[in-house]
Amino acid sequence: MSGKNILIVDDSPIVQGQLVQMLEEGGHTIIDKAADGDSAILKYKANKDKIDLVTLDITIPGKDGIQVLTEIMEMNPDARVVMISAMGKDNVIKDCMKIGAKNFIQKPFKKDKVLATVSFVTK
Amino acid sequence: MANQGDYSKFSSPALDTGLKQNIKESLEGYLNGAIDIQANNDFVRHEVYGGVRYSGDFNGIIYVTLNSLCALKVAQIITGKKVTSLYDGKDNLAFHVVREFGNIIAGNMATLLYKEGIDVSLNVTWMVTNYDPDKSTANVKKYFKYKFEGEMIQVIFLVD
Repeated sequence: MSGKNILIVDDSPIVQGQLVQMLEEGGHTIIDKAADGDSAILKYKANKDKIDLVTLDITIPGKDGIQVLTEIMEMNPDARVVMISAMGKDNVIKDCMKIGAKNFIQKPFKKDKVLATVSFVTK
Repeated sequence: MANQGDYSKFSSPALDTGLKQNIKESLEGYLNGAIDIQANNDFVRHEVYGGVRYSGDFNGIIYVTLNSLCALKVAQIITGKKVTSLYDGKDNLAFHVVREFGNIIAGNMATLLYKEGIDVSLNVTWMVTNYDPDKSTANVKKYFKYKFEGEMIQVIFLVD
């Protein structure tokens, strides 16, 4: 599988760092990172044609992950977004899938799970 | 919000057992190490607190507390870097690790509560350095304690 271009959205520098390391070790390229909903939208807009996948935390400052997901899907119905959250509530996961998210990863996550999910979503 | 004011759900020993086990598994998943549940459920005063406010069927706060030494140890495990200070004036890694720690524990607890019919959502995590159980006005206060590599980690569950 060739490496994908990924936008990471999470307000924790720890999680950003973990995802950058995992994804780069898996051969992917991190296009950019955002720590809040508003900058996530701006960065997605600026790099829309390059981004293959977005990892998107649900609980972030400003617009939350679900609002960001909604706006990304409106900009690009073919966007591939994987939601990430410490909460694994069925109702939230279903709502995200209905809006257009392709998959969901619950924290704490392992590298194998992250890479397998990226591979599955971008095949 | 049908449950508001009915705190009887939080008196259930089965819920306490479920929460304790759920937190243990979250801690083990995050720290990649064995976690022992402690039998004593009294409050213990620590130096470092990661807090998350939640709202929904009930409102409240979940804290993860630990001493500075434990926080530095946890930060080192998670980041793979030598961490000597909680606030180093640069990237404050230990601070962010504990913050994320609180987020993960609270998120997993919210998932369990949802399965028990209590629907809550988390707010963006913040961190405080003090919690006084005598000054807390929470209607429900639970203290869950764990041992990790000889250090104590405490999870405080408060319901307004």
